[in-house]
Amino acid sequence: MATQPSNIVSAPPDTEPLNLKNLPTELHLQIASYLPYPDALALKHTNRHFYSLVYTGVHLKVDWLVERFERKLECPMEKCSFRTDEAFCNVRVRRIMERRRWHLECLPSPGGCFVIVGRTCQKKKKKDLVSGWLMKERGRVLGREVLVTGLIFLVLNLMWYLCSRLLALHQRRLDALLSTVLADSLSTL
Amino acid sequence: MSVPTLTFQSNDGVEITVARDVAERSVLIKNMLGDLGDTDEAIPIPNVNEAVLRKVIEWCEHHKGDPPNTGDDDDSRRKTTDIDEWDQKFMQVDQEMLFEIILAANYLDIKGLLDVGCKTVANMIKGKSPEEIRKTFNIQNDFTPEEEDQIRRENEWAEDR
Repeated sequence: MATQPSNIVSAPPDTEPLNLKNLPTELHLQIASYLPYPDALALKHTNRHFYSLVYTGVHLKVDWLVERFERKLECPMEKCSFRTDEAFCNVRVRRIMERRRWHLECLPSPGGCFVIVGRTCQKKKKKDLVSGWLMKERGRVLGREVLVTGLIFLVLNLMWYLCSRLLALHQRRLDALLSTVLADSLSTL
Repeated sequence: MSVPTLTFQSNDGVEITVARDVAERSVLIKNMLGDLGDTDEAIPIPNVNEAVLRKVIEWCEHHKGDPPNTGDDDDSRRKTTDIDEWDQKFMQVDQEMLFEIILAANYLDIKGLLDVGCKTVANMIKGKSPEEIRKTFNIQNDFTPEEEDQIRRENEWAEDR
């Protein structure tokens, strides 16, 4: 007689391997409770179940900022609304979260990873060296918008000045040529 | 006298003998023995197969000297996901085994093992975009187009990759 295996808790239907979604909701909550704000937000945005479940409220946002402050990382203190995720994730917060996700803020020393605390995040850096470098450069340029705009303005101004000078010089030469030609023709007459 | 032992029977019918103090890392077993008294018979563990049960027992053996967890750390809002080196190595298993261990720890009420399991999953989520999390855990995106719009407004940072 074949015995029925009594898989009450896990109960994966037939062939599908056990997965995160098969865990009971209280364990989803426990896992989410270990996540700082950016990761909780990412998990929240995976599907409807996690959207209704994962907490990304004021406390989590404040905790994340305090943690960043303690580590002397960039903190967007001004114009920051904590009410909703949409209001909180302004351009600056988004940029910070993106940089964090790329491990660009981590220390290169062993155990210097700030994303998974205590780990060494060489692997991801090596793998995405080129794209990471590009992101870094992008971040660097974005951080100096005023300087870049000023430089462009200066170059344009300089070009305009040179052009006008060149035109004026040309005009004067033309005038001189014209006057000599006129004088010549008059004298021949 | 030798150390008192207990026998567990996994859901695939395999009997495993364990030292009593190791088995009592499980609050479920500890309370059951307290309520029903000692037994020489094999204790059936209906939700756990042999491979998972052996893993769980391995963890309990390594941690049998740990002080009992008081649950005080639940009060602090900011939880750390630091996992000690042995536990990190112990948790280097495939995803299915990891979730089986978590479910077994939940069923047998072994708080330390459950915490380590959940922290391991949390560390697998960290630093990923929603799409990467979906790929890692095979999660279906079941948002409607309107909900997708709302999400895009909430985290455009994760989209441009």
